[in-house]
Amino acid sequence: MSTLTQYVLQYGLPLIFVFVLLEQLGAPVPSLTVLIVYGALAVQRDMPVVPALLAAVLASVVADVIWYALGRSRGHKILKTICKISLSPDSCVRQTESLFERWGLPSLLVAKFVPGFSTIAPPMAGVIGASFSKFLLYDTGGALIWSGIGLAAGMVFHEAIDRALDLLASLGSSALVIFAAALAGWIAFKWWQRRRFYKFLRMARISVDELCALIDGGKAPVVVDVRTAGARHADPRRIPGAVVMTVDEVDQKVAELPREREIILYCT
Amino acid sequence: MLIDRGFTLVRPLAGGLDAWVAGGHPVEGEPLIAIREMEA
Repeated sequence: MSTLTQYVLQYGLPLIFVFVLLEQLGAPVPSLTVLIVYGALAVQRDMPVVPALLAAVLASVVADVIWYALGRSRGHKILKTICKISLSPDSCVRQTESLFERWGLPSLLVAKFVPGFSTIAPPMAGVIGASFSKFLLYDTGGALIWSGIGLAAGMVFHEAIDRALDLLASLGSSALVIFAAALAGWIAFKWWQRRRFYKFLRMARISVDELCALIDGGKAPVVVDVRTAGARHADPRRIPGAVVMTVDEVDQKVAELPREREIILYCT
Repeated sequence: MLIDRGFTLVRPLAGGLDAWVAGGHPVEGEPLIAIREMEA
């Protein structure tokens, strides 16, 4: 019997609650794996599924409400903090903002299936001032769908999962080493990708003083506000004369931008 | 995205809007908090 199976059998519901809570708060823990294993064991050992589903939903909603409250109280800064500790390039905020603005609160129903979006969506709802009751409704729905699919997958594919767990158990510590090496490799790649992106930004960027010098010197750069509608709603201030253009509007508005002048982009 | 479309003179503003405001430069529009205080 694999170690994971032992833990799930021994600690079941508390394990599910803690893992889901930690993952929804942003920690890299495999809570979906625990749900799938529990689902498989529920079929093989006749264990109750509804309490596991409720534990997962409760943990998920608690974590998301915390993120929502942080979004309400700290505004856009919390999104920047999330992206600072995220391994994805800095564009993660704008991309997820665009997704959220396109689909609104109903996107919470599927947010947990989209990497990155699941962590950003709850604080985003707080930042834009979404109604708490509506947020709770859609978030609970999303948690139910996500947890339910995890448990159901375990129940449907319990035989295959049992074989996979037996294989892991037979590999012993080698499986852990392989998994740890793969995870370390992925983290190292994302870290390198992020460093390369910021190195490019540092080389290309212009300071506020340099921009003022350009403007005062008659060079007339085109200043472009690339914040999303949500970010501009949260902070309506703008650099005088700035053109508004979100990532989604690039194709529509690119013809309006002069190629012979400097284009200065800014967000928050 | 602009560079992919052939623009070569594209530069991000270091520090963004926050740096512009911190430098004491003028802005258009008022922050929401100020608007709410004005309406109160």
